[in-house]
Amino acid sequence: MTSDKNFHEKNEMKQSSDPCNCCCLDSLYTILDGEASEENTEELMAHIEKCLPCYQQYDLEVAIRELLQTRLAKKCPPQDLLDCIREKIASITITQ
Amino acid sequence: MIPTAYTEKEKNMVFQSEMLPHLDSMYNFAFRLTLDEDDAKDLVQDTYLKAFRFINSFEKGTNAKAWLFRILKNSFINDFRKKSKEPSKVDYQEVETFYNSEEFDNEIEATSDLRSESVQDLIGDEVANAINSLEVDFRIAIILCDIEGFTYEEMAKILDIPIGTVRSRLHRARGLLKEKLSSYAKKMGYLQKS
Repeated sequence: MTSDKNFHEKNEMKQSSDPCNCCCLDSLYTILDGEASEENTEELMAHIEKCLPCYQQYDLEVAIRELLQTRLAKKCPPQDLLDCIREKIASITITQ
Repeated sequence: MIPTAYTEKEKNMVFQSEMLPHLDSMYNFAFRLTLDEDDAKDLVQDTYLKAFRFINSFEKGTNAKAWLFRILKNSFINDFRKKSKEPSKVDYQEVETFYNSEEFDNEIEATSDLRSESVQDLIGDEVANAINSLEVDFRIAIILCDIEGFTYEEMAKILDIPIGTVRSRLHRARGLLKEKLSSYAKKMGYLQKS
């Protein structure tokens, strides 16, 4: 199975703890923010799969983004806010 | 940009159909900036009144949410922050001290089920606390990109800064947030075990 091959490759690479100088955090952000081209995304994702420091960095960035998107409570606007806005707009329209 | 000359009827229609649907996001953005429910309400009202007054400068079919966020951000920076009381820094320091304390760790560890409501509330508070403790420009960058999902180009327009500055501000903001949240992300199992 190809997944076995990938698993071994990944494990081999993961044993390396050399610092990664091949890509920067900014490239990672452009991918996570959907701002990178398809080609760059594929290239960097392939790299992340094989490079431990980049893989850990990516993992952390994804985790923090998930925390922000799922754990930050959404506030409900006060019930009367919409009515207040409508009333004020109506009074502007009348005075004009 | 050439202003659009809307009739009175069109003005109201554009306001109803393009502006008001963003009330929830606007209120949440205002709350994250002011950190106070009453101030957030006032800021959103101010913003909508300005939006209505200057609606001719809104080009139909363009991004109304980004347009509104820009007005809200400017209102906050130029007018509101000066008048409004500064959020109590002491309170945040106290909160931060608690969340970084052993007491907080013990509370989490003592609860066997991490999905329990009380633990989830603590995590939510911790995330809010981390964002709220960021300096306002960094806080805005994180909210716009990571929570509201604006593109770099939209952010550049909302913030009146070049795209390069958007990127560097985000980079810096994320670095600060990471310092505050990475240990929680690990503790809560958001990170894969390597």
